Amino acid sequence: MRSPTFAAVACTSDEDDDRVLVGRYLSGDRDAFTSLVVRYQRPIYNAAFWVLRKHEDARDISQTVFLKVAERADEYDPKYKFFSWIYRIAVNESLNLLRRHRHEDELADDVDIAGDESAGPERQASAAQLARQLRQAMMTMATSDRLVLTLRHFSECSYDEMAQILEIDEKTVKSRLFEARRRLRGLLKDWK
Amino acid sequence: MTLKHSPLAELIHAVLDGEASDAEARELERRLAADPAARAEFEEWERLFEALGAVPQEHAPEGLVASINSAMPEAPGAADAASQPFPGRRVLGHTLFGITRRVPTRSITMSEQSNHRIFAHRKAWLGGGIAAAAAVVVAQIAFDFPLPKDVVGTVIPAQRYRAAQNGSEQVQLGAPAGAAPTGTAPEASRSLAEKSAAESALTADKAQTQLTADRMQADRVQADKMQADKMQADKMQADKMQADRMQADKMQADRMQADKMQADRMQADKMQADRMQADKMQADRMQADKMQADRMQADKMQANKMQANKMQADRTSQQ
Repeated sequence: MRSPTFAAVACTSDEDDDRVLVGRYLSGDRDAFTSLVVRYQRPIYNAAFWVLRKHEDARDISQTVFLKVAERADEYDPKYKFFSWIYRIAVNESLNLLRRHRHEDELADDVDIAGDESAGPERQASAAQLARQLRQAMMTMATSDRLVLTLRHFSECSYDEMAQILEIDEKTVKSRLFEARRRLRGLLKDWK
Repeated sequence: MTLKHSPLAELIHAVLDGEASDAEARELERRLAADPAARAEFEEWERLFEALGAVPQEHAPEGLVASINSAMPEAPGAADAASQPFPGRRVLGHTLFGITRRVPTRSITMSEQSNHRIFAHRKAWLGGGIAAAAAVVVAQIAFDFPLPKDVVGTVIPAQRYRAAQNGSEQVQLGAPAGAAPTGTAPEASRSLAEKSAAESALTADKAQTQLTADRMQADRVQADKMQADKMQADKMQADKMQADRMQADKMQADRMQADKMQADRMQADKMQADRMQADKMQADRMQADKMQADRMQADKMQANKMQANKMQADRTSQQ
């Protein structure tokens, strides 16, 4: 019953194909690496953006992540998913930058958690309106909440994949995910 | 809205996440069928999940692929480094005396690149000026440039002056030892020798000047050739980067289009599935309502019949 997301589906990509591309890159084929960049630039950018909430930072982190991957491609262990590996690098880099900048508590200027009043008491807001409200609400959440919601709902990662990426056990993943969703609903005052 | 961290909620999340086992899914179905409150809770969570799935995602910025490509190190298995035009140069690392140094990955980021672009031309001119000055100094040391014409001759190698020696015809017999010579002949001879020395010095000077000029000309030709080669190499590299950028942009555009098409398709499929499910639920509800009504009617008829029978029996017993 996993619902599809609209864009940054990444955990569901073809892992065998990724391994082939990594192998080709390690043999000297730069185009193979470009293919990986093209394939994952969007999910990686989104992951960085949802952690950092700043486009400029997300752009820099995306570049750093791919260059690190290029440098350390020989350290990739094919028994794990390539995406899990690269995503973990992206998460760590983003969190490091967050710590360096210490802008965790700053909100983006366009964040507005108020519900859409035009929806009226009947709450007949369309899915798009609800999505916009959710996006705004998520922007105000803690980093750890944003991270698990992004991994699960935007990148379509399973509990197991999330556990690998976040380097925690599955039980903790479930618990964090549940709490994040509960808090998200709490932020949506008009939600019913 | 307060929802507790209940086993039911956990079960709902697991099912909606697609992580529940078949047994868990059946258990949830059973509970939802039996408990309207559970059903309502399930529908609320389901709505949240759907809305999360519809949150629009960011597009990667334009030029990200190209900027990564341009900052990329050599591919690990690339052809022998010695075959490269400039084997000692790397973007992220460089080779020094056969030892490859790995430079920290913190290369120039995209936001920094915009600043770099602003000063790129100025840096190029400054770099060119410094390189030219260095080349002049090196050339002066290596090739011993000539000095301007008005000081020609000052660099002639020192020559020892040798006066012309007296010949036998100049020795006067019977003259006292140490007596001064008559004077005219030796002075003329000395003047002649000096003139000859000056002429030979001038000739040597001219030859030196010519040699230096030839050398400078050869250097200029070689420098021009190197400059032309470098420009050609730069152009080829720029062309290649441009081609790479275009290819990457095209791949990205294709990918975005494919993503959009897939998203549209998935959305359409989902809407269709939702509609079908809603229709099915509606039909099920109607059927259940009808069955319930039928049952109630049957029960009522049965009760009426029983009451009629009872009344009949009462009447019979009274008679």
